[in-house]
Amino acid sequence: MLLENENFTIYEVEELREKFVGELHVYKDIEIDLVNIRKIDMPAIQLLLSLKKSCKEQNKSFEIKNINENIYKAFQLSGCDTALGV
Amino acid sequence: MNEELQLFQEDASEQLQYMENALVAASEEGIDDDKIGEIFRAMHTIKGTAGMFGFSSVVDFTHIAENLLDEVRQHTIETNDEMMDLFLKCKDHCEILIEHAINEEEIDEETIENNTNLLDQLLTYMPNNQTAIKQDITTIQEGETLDKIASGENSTWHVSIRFHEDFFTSGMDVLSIFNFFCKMGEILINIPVIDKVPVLEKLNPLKTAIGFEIEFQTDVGKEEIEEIFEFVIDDVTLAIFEHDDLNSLAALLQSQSDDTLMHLLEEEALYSREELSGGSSENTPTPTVEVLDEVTEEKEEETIEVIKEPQDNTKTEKKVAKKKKAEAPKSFSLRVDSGKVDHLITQISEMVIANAKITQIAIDREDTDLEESVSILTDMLEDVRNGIMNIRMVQVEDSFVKFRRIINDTAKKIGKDIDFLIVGGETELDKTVVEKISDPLVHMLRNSVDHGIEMPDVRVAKGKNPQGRVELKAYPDGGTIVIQISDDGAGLNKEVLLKKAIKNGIVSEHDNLSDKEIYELIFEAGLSTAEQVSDISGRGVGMDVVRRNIQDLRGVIDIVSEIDKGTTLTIRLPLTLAIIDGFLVQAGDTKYVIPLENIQECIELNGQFKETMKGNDFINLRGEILPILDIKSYLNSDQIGEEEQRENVVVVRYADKVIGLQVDELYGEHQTVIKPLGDIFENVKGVSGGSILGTGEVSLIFDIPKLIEHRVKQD
Repeated sequence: MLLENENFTIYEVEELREKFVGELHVYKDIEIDLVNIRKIDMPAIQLLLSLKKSCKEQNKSFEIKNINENIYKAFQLSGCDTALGV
Repeated sequence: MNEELQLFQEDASEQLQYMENALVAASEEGIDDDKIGEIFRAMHTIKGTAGMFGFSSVVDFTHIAENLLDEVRQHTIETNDEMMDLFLKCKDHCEILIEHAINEEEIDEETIENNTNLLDQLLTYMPNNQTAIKQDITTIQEGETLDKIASGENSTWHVSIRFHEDFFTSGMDVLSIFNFFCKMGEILINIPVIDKVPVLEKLNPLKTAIGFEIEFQTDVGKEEIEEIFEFVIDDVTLAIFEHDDLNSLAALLQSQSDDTLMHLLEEEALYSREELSGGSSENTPTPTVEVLDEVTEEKEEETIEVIKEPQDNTKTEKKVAKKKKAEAPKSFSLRVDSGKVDHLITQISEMVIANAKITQIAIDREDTDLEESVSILTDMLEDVRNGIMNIRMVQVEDSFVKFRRIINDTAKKIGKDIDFLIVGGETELDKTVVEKISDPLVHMLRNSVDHGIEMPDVRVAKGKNPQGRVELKAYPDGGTIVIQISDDGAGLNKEVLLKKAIKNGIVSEHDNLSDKEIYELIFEAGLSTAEQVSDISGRGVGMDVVRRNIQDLRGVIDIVSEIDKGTTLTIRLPLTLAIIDGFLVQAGDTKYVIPLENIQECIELNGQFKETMKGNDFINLRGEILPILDIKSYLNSDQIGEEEQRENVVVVRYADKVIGLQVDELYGEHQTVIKPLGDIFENVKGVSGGSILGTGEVSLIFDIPKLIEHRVKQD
């Protein structure tokens, strides 16, 4: 699933949650492509954690790919890198 | 601007003001430890709060300035006036950096250059630390931690954070908080607590469900770590304790509703099973912790707070103080949006009106029980009203002190030497009034310095002290606050003023003006122009605006001047703007309210007085002549009262003038909510507003200064 915006923040999370919920029913495995994302915040990270939880519950694989340096730093800073498996 | 950012802005400008006050005081009274301490604390606070918002430009700059201040504070570096000047410049620069940061503007080249210059100057005072600090700058640039270089022993702290569910929408990002942790030390481990994060279908992505358990290494103390959360303290539940303080750990675990946290801390190997199960707690069996905010609140029983001795290394010597959860540890100040207070004042105003109505009903029904209850209610309402009004009152000192710099700067620029005195800084005034009066005061003070005080050589030639004196004085007087600006300068030249006014067509040649009226010409728009000569040049520029601003506050301005002796401007302002204590009277068919603060006494206008009047508007009151203004004939000339009716005189005073108002009935004290009158009353001199009485009638509120002015003019 490719996120098209540059920002993945509190302003986008509601819309993206809807999108994730929809796709979760369609695909067997979930792959989130963050190639375009330049900015992330905690609500967005929480949404990813929630998505991962859903995947686990439904026995689907979950992967985040194409993480740029800044985003990776944010994951690390919040300690969520491990929890998100990145 | 979101609420947090606004708070930051308010706090920063307050801190900058403290800093400036201390710096100006240091330059005038000499540098001492207290002042350096104040400057340091202000710089430190700005650094801290700016860091929370990720305003790195502000943090980087203030950090260096703070380092130097710290050295000065510890007497490792000596201070001098130049250094104080430099700090003043640093303060100004901080202000600019903060403004840029808040407005998310790019920093312009001039500011960058200034930044570098100031940093260089700061560094020259710290030759020993130069390497360390230079390293600091590079470290910051690489986005790493700031304070690692700082000396001092590191300790490891455990920080447990839970957010209120609306934290995300508060506008503060959790990542900024972590960034600030990194500036103060090193996050060794950060474990997100995600057991409360629901699956996607159940997730409200705007609600905060995540929490964190952090191991944090730093050389700063607990209070400084707590400061990170200063702006969001109401929105988080925190527990901060040293890693090996197992008692606090036990208390944290106890505050949890289940074992999830314990398992998590064990899984992540933050603590061993023994530590988590309280294995070492045999020595001190009572779990003790000072948990901030809700961890305490969630527990319904008493909590026990540990107060550590400052020098306590042993941890076994602890003072244990029992304390109920609801008790606040100490009095604290609260920042509240002024709109909320205004709302309360409006509500109270309505309550006062409603209460007046009930009082009237009680009187009409002759129900003594009800009257008694209402009387208690009235007293309580007055207490509440005074309490709320009091919230708005601030000392004028803080606002006045900032003028010191304006005076100094203006004087320096034009080569004058001025001794600026502030008298009565402790006088209290409504905050709104203080804010609105600030600009007019600056204008008048500048005028005093620029045009009032002569150049030193001129003063010497006149036999005066070369140092000019400007005094800003505030004091309460008869329910008003008087603010006076006086200088010992050249004074106003009446002839020049009058000539100019005639030339500009403001007055005609044939007008016979009193001195006071001539001086008041400086408040006329357009009086002062560029071609105006000598020492009054410039006076009058914007003075019309000054007068209008003061009148908007229901104040009056008065001017007294004497050639070569100086000029004194006196501003009188009402204490409050919304509700006043009034005195209800009746003249003819209409009821009027006289502000109680203006009333000196009430007397009956008996036959004896009337005899002495002999048709004049004066009575002899204990040997003094008291001018009388007959309200009926002044405002209500058609309705003449009946001859037999008792007549009364209310003696009112404003400034140094006293007159008697002749009325029919006296009703007594009345809490009066001032309601503005419509435009059609604009030209009714002597009435400042209206008020609704308990009976539903409208009473008019007298504008005593105007009435006195009218009566005095008649003579």
